[in-house]
Amino acid sequence: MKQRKNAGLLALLTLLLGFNTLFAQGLLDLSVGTSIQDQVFTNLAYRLQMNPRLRIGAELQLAAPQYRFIDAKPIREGYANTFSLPITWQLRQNEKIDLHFFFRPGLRFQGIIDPDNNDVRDEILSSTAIMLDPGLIVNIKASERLQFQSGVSFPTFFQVRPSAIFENNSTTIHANLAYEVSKRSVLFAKTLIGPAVGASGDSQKFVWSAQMGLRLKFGSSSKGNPLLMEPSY
Amino acid sequence: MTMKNILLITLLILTQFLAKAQDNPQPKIGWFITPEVGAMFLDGHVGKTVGASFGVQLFKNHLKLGILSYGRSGPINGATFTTPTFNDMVYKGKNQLTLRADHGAFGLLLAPSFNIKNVSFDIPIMFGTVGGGFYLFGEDRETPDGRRVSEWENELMDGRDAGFGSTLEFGLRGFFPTKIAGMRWGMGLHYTTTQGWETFYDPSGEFYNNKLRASVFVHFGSN
Repeated sequence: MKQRKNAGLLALLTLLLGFNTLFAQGLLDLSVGTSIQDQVFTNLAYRLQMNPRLRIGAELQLAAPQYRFIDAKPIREGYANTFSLPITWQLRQNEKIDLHFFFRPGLRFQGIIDPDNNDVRDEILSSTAIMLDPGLIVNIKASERLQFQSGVSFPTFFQVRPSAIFENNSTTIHANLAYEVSKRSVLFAKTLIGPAVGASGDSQKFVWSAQMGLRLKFGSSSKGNPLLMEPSY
Repeated sequence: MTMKNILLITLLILTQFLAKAQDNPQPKIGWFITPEVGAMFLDGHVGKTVGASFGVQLFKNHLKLGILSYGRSGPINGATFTTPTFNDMVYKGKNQLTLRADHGAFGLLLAPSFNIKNVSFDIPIMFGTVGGGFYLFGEDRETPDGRRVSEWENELMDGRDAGFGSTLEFGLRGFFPTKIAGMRWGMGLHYTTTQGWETFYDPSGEFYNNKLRASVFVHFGSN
């Protein structure tokens, strides 16, 4: 009886989500950047503006590391892939300034092939980490087509494999810019910097990131603000 | 309770307050976010800092209540400090260590605010935790036996390479208007004290104690 009730609730939730999704505005982001931890990375994200205040999405980052950590020891090559589910919720709206709460939970998979550097590709050292990234975003409307964002976020990483380590927590301030090129496209740039701590001082002590990209808009344009750019690191 | 948990809980509580106040056409609770960069006037050098404060504004924006977090990170501060090793230990052929300093402060912010004409002022008072230490950098971070750097730093500095303590800071900030309502830029001067922070390099704990700090910031808020 309880199982039938749970199945019914799940079906109802799926129906509601599907119905809401049908009328949501879709936003596809593609960007390229660099950071203290990556020579280069690319971000691909799809976001749904569910209603004027709530935006949810999925984001995938593929990176070529230059200074990351496995078991609190640095790796300077390899791969780093992060999958996350960003959520943005508008808290306040004034004439020119909006305030939004931002939360991005995710999973990070990174690794290095041939960690002992003996030119024999017989070994992979890899790790898995949980990422939590809460923050506050301020959006400033400079004009109809140009908007800026600032704010603060706290990206936090917990390595769970191969061992459990509180890897890193940062206090990052960000500065983003979005320019509406056409009704369906927005050019953007994102930067962030901030102090970091973790792994008894063996991981990052300072972080920075910079990226540029393009956002494409799909569906109805009456909901939300397509020029609002969420931070990503 | 770790810093990250405190931050997350604070953010969640803040969002509840602000979301409820959004429904009121004239909310009694305002908000603020203030990213900042700064300079700490330390002995022999000036340290660069990055940080931010955020929270709510109460009593018609005459009192800010929130969180302040900032750090004087080692990688953006090139000053180095030399110390002999503990018990004359040898590290990579040397018994003298050349170190960089790293620091972070996090705490509750209370700031009474007032206006003089179109310029706002506040008196930020922060009470919280300070953590910091001295660390090996550059090629010295490649340990001779592959162990973690922190293990070597603990041995070379008698387990006192870093420490935690409390901090009390107060100051004066000025906020100047811009053409955008709710956005101001400003400058501040702060007096920082630490309590109970000691390390192998600085057993007196005076490295960050009784020091001046200047900040430059952009302030976003409901006023």
